Amino acid sequence: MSEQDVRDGLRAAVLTEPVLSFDPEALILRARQQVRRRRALAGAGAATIAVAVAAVAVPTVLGTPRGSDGGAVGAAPPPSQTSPPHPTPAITTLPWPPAGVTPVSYTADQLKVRGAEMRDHLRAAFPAAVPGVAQVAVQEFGGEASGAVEDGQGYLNSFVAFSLDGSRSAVYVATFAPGAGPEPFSECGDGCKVATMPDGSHVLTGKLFAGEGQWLLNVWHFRANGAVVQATGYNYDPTGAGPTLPVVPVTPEQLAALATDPKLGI
Amino acid sequence: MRTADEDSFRAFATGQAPTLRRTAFLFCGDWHLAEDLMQAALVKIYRSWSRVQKRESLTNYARTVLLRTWLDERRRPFRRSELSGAELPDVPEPAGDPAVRVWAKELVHRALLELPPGQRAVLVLRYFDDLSVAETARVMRCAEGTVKSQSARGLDALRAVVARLAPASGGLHRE
Repeated sequence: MSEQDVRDGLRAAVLTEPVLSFDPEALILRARQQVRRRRALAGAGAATIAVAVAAVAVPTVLGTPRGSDGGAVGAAPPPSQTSPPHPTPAITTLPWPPAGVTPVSYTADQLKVRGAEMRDHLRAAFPAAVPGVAQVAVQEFGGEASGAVEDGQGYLNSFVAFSLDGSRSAVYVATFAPGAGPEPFSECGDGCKVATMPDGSHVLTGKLFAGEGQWLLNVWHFRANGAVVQATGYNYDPTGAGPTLPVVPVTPEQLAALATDPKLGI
Repeated sequence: MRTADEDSFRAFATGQAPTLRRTAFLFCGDWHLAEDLMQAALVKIYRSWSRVQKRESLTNYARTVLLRTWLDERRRPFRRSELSGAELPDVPEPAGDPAVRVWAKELVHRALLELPPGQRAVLVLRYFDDLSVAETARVMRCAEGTVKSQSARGLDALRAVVARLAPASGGLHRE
């Protein structure tokens, strides 16, 4: 099969496309509503979430002594967390990645090493961030599936399954290499809140309705070096088939502690 | 947004919507999801329009946003299934029939949907959108070397899947 076969095949695949009924006015209306809602909510919530993040921020700058063998993924520079973040005026857009950030590419072997380091770290860091949890199980970091990584993959993710007060749930932890993360606000959902940290990084918190009474509570740390760390809580167990819980059992502050943990990140 | 900016966005969105939807379809294999991805990408572009509209290659910027929107969708634990329900027939029509060519070309996209997202994206950007290695690297925000290696691996994987799905095709050799 030649490259021309691939071109022909891809062009043929879209020949039978359905009619597009694109209404630019409706799209603009929807976009305007999102902008207005974000402006309103970001302003109201910025100060609150800033205090919450400060309350759980690690008071010392932790080093990340890994990669000494030259084979592991280089650590993201630890975010400065020695003083409370600034309450900010309403932020509705965040140019991303920051200017000057060069995308980083890792090999599958490097990602496996880094994933194993973060998995070990989370085994202790997760119970510290979420007191009272039991039966903590940290999945192997991977990509499309647990443990699955490929050369050039710009992210690693995992689930931390746990029991809390007799209920089962899990937290999703995703780390993105500089330049490979999601667009800020892309999935923040309603009630998106933004806090600016002293080092210029940003913490976004939002709640997303997953349907059928299920919710996700998302916290992203958009770091100054262009890396992103996401921690997501659920009011159900995304790794199992347990019941839907009345509330997400982890708090925004606990998720922020994980997302801003300098020992998590690629 | 100023009226003039909104007018320019409207023109851009109207012009790009069909192309973005086709690219999204090749990424995900479902026209409904492709339309949602296209709309979500355009909404994101609207929000940063005043900042990005002067970019040299706005079309490639839109491709970047679309790609990220798709990848974000894939990362959601509750994401929708991507593969379309349209299955290939078990055997192609008799040789010489135009249907054979249609079947063979559907096979390429069907095989593409079995590849990892990175390889899928690089093949779509290079062979459908006809981007150079450098342009693809900028859209994917990765190194050119990564594009080259992903292209080579993607083509190898595509050939392997095609051979598995249609062993009688002989790998779709060109006439």
